[in-house]
Amino acid sequence: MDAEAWKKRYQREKSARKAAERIAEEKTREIFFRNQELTKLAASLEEAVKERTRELEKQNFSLEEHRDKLKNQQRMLQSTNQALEEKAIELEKISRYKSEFLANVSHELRTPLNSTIILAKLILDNSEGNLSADDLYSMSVIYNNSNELLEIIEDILDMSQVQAGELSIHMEDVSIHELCQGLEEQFRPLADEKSLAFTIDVDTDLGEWINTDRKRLKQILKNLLSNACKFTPEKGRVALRIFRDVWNPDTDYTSECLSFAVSDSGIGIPVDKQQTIFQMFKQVDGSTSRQYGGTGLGLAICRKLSDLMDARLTLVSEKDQGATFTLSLPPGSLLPDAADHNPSSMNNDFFLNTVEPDSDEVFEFNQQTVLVVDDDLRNSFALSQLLQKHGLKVLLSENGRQALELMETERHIDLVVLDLMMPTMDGFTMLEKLRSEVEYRMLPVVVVTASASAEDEKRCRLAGADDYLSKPVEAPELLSCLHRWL
Amino acid sequence: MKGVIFTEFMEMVEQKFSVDVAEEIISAANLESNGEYTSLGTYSHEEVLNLVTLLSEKSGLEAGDLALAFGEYLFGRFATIHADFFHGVSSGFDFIEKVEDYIHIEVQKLYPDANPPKLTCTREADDKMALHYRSHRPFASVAEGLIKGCAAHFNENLTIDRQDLPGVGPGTEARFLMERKS
Repeated sequence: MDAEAWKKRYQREKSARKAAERIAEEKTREIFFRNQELTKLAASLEEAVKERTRELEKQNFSLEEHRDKLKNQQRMLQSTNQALEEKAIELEKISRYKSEFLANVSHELRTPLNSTIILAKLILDNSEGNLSADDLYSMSVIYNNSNELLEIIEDILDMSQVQAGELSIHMEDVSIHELCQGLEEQFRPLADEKSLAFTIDVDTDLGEWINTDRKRLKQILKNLLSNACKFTPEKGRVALRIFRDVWNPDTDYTSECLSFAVSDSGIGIPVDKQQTIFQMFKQVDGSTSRQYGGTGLGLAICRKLSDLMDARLTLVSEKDQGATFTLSLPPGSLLPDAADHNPSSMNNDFFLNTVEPDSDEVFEFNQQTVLVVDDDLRNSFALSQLLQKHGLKVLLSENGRQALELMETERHIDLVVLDLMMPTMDGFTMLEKLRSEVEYRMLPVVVVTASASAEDEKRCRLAGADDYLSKPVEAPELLSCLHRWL
Repeated sequence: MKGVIFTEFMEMVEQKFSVDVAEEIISAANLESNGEYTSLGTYSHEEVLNLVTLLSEKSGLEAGDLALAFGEYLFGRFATIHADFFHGVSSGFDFIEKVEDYIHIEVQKLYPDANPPKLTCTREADDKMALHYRSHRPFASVAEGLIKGCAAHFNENLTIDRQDLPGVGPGTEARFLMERKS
């Protein structure tokens, strides 16, 4: 190869080298920029990670704060709850104290009232015919006021029992006829006194028997009728209607129920007061109490009792247009009229004292000996007066121990009238001791006590009492009871 | 020192003198690299000094003049190879001002191990500028040649007053006072 050819080749090689160098430089530059991008990306990623970390830290912090706040709230709630629980326990205690207090007060009030009523009735009878008309009038005032007082006491006791949840309902079969008779007897004299037209209408399509709480139903109806008589001026009208009714007229499902509507032509109740009169101690206004008397408990008790019986107590009235209170017993109260109904079933073991005594009956005894055990001398005195007057011999003891001691020497005792709350030995203990001796196992014992709760009655009967009467006892009621056992 | 200085130097020797002269000085220099230069490599600046000395001996020209001439030649080559550096640059002073903060940075992008001289420009007037050159290599003359090449490129009539400074040895530091004549 000659020099010229070598030179050409050299130039070619040199150009190739330069081209390679250029390519390499371009690549290097590219790598540099790529690298720079990567660095930037890495930095931005790093920054993003940092930012995210900061955010997470912030979130974490706020979560912790939130958690602390929740914990605090929880603590506060817990302490509030605890305070509320303590308050509830305290309130329950107070409520129990109140109920106990009312029961005690009621007992303490009944005891003196018992003797007052019995003695007043005895004097009113004027068996020796030596009392003046004024004396008799005064005595009738004492007698009537005592009875009124008793009703108020019973209202208060009922209310406290309702509030303490101690009042229970005893369902039994009740004769409508008998119910109406009782109400008629009680309210006819009252209506006559004010020249009110008083009617009791029972729809003919009703059967004889209904199933309900006899005592409570009567209590409600008496209350409503007594209010109707009280708030109706002379020569007005008071009516009780008993009829089949529609139970829940507001819903698609309807069934038949039994309604008692007590209506009057009295002063009526303004619409805006129609709810408040069902509240405790509330009357239409302050002047009502001044003009007509009353504690404002009656309707509140009626409403509560009605609720307890699953019944409905409603009112339709306008001022000066009279009022109609309707008590609707739930559908279950209506019984199919069965011929085999045993009237004695109403003489439920536990509620003998609810039997209305036949006031016309005259009880004469045959000098049987009755031991009256009562620490209240006024009571003993009143009782012995009454019993002696009806031909009974009476022995007195002031407590259970004294009575047991007396019974060791005095063997001819035909019946014991026993008070419960007494010093030294109470009635329960005495009953138990008496029943543990064969000799006295069959001796009739009638408990007469001012403790009016159903619980006490049950306890007495379990301890062996043959009968149970709560003070104050109406003389005919007591005599009728003793008559059964002698 | 960057390989481009070596390849361009050898190019200049081949062009201004001859391929044979180029071969002769490379053989005589007895170089560590054997003169196998590529612009991508990095070589000891002693080699180029060695080659300049040999060329001076061979040609009978002053080494300083040769270095200056090489600088001038090199600028021309740069203008060809790196035309992109000249976009939007309208005067020699503008270009010189860009060298430190633009071109040297671009160089370092490609060759992170490059160690270019430190240049500081002071514009005293519109047509007057001072350039301070400092390097660990004694290439103040090459720098001067580059300035001349720059003036030539921009078609400018530039007087250059070079003041040598001690630096780390002769030719390593200098101040160039330049004035542009219209």
